[in-house]
Amino acid sequence: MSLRTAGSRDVITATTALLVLFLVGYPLIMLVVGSLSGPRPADAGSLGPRAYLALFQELGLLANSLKVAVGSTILAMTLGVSLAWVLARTNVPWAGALEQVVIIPFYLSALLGAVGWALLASPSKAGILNSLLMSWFHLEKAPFNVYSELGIIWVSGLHFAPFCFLFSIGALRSMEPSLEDSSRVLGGGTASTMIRITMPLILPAILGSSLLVFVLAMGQFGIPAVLGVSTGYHVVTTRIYELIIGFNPDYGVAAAMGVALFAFSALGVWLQIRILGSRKYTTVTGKGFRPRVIDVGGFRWVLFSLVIAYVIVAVVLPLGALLFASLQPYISTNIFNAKFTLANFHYILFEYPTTTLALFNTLLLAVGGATITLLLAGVLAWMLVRKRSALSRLIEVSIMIPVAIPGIVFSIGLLWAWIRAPLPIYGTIWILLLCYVTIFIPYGVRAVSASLHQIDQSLEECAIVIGASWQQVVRGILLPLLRPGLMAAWTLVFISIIKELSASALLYNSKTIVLSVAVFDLWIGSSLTYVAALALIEALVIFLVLWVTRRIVRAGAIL
Amino acid sequence: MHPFSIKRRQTIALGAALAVSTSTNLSHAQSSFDRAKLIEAARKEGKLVFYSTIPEEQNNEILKRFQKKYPFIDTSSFRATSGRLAARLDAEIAAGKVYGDVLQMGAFGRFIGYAKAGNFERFDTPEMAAYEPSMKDQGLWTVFRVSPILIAYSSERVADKDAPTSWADLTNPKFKGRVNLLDATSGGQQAHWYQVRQYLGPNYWKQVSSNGAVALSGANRAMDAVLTGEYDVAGHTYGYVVNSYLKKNAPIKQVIPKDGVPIMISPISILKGGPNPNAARLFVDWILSREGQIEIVDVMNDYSPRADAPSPKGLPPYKDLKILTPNSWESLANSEQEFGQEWTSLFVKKQ
Repeated sequence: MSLRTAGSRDVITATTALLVLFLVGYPLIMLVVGSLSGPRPADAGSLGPRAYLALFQELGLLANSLKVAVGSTILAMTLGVSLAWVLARTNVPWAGALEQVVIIPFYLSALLGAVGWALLASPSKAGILNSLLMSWFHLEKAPFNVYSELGIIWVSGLHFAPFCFLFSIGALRSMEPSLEDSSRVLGGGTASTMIRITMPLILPAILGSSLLVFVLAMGQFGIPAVLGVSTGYHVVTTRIYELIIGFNPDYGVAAAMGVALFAFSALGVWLQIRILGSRKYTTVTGKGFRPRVIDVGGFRWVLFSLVIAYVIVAVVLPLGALLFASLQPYISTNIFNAKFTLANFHYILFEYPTTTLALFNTLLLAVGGATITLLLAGVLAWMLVRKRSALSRLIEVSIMIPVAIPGIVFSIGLLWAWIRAPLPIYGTIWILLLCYVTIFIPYGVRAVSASLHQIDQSLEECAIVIGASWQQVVRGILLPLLRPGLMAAWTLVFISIIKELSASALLYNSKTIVLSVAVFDLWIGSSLTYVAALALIEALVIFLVLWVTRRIVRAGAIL
Repeated sequence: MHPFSIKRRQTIALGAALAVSTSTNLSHAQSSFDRAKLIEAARKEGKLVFYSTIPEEQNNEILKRFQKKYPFIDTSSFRATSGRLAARLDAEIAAGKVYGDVLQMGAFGRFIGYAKAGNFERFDTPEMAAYEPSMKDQGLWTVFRVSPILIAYSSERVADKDAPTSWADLTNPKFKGRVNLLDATSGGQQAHWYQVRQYLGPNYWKQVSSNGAVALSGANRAMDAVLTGEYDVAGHTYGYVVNSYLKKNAPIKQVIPKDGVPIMISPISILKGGPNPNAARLFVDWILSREGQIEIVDVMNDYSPRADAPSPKGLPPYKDLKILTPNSWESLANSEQEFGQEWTSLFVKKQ
């Protein structure tokens, strides 16, 4: 490898690494300082471990958080990985269309997902499903109660399933089939090949995404807030929310909880490095290949029905409930005596003063933010997978900061950090872009490195031996091979930015308002019929942008 | 009989005094107040940043009407729930960089906290003379809207003859498990708790709790839950919330409780160190003027503390209401913690 090539490459990776370390480290430092201070940010004079000692009173909440996180991660992984395998690797009918449909629940914010399920399964005739089942089967009691621990796990699991799906499908697509072929030649059936060969090969993607989902489920707020509040069911994050925006704020304890949760997931990252470190996952080598689509025969219709069942439960029901709500003159779950109107959509599109501006700002930030995030994440992922060093291990742990610290706490850290910075961006739209990149870098890095794990390093080495520059290697070898993974990662970050609320709601102003804040505003100060209408418009916009992006990418104009 | 209405009469008398300009306080304010000069100074700044907890739509409308009067001021706002707004403002104050000019906040206790901590800029306008003493801390903050707290019920599931007519009715066994309230993060619910407790006795809320009432988050969610049938009675709502649902012909009816109406007050103030202090003064001067108050009553459907402003649509004149005025707004503001603990133990039903 020529010195010049290695030199420019190392400068790029090191600069990116330091930049990202600063972006995620600076707010963390502010939070650590805050956690050692008094209840208010102005109390910085009295440093001490007060807030950490207070954490021991909240251990019961940690148990609730763990139950919800473990339960929803298992549900999300089971659904997400199975769906990805069926749609990427079997000849199930209409796989292409279904692939777009199964991620639709992810278009909705967690809050709206919870609202959809509250409309369906509120424990009386007020829940649409309960009301239907009670009248069909003459039941005395409502069969479902979504205002429960199980309800929270169910809705969270469904919410995170598309997340796991997007992670695994990239890895399943960039997999050379020769190992699976060997298994089959040696007499392994479809099922045994899948369990013994395919699944272990996409283990990095599975572990990477399950760790992310677990940590995100620990840090989630919207679902337990909507479904737990009336029954007094608290998790760590709903308590943190009270500590920050409740009647008696204590930023110190909130910051300490965030820092403690980060320490907790740093442990998870360390475990993951240990598990993955001992094996090799290279399946994409120099030989040409196309991932084999397995002919499952008549069984494909069984698989198809299972996917459709998922689509009905996870997509049609909650979206249908929201659509029904958005078409009512005022909120009602009485589907036997419904009055339909387009008044809510008319109001949101033509009368609500914020919709157009929020739509414009959101698209600008989400397209720009996802692209910048992916550029940085691509470089970091390459460094994590190809160049193991002290710096890369530090990056691997640090990029968990924005994921592991619950959004509402990390946002306070971002606020404390950037309000003091000499950059004149506070109060402008650029502060939002900066925060989105900071918050979603981990998603990008994890999603890209999941695919990069599988590409044989010898491909890059060959190119460099014959005189290619690193830039040529990236453009000629890595980008084409990583394309499915990159597309999935961009989608993931794009959707996540559109849905981001915690940081947006602290840092926006009326000129930089985004859709997630506009929806939340309606949630706070308006009827559910308007909330549902704007949330569905938001989902439609996500769908259209992704559709257009796929067309462009397929036409080869990008990548 | 009702301290507020008596004081209101005094206010009217004060208004009469204004005509002959006998009050020393007033003549002082008048001599030092030069609106034309203020308008020029505000024009030079050309901008105003409003920190507020008013819902987006109404907030935008208020700024629009201010801009109609003073089109050379480009307004923008940061609006959020009281807690989020406080989190941002606390951080700005701690960093010594305040980006907002004018503050309006639903949580009265927190608002008063900023006044005590010296975060507000003093400003006197002759308009403040029209506000009686319990509605202001002269020059520091002034209440610009008064929201009556009401009851609403589903007219589909509750017949008019069975409907609640008073706060006492919420303890009636026929409403067992059918009433919702707001959770402890609501500043309005705190005012409601304090005032009703003062007039109906310390056991009142315990009785409402044993009658199975449940706290939800936000007046709109509580009303939605009455429409879907999860509950039949909203035990804490506002005229403007009911009106927005009535506009859509929702089967809701409002009750002005015959045992008295608690009120929530919303003060406004100028933030110390904000970027546009003169535009801030001009905005506060406008919002407290009769002209500004007519706009506020029209947009918010709340009462004005000014005697010379009209009543909101669909509600009787203020003097006809039996207002449950708190013995002290100061101790109401200081009751946050006690309220939070009692409320959570009473109305968050454990699984």
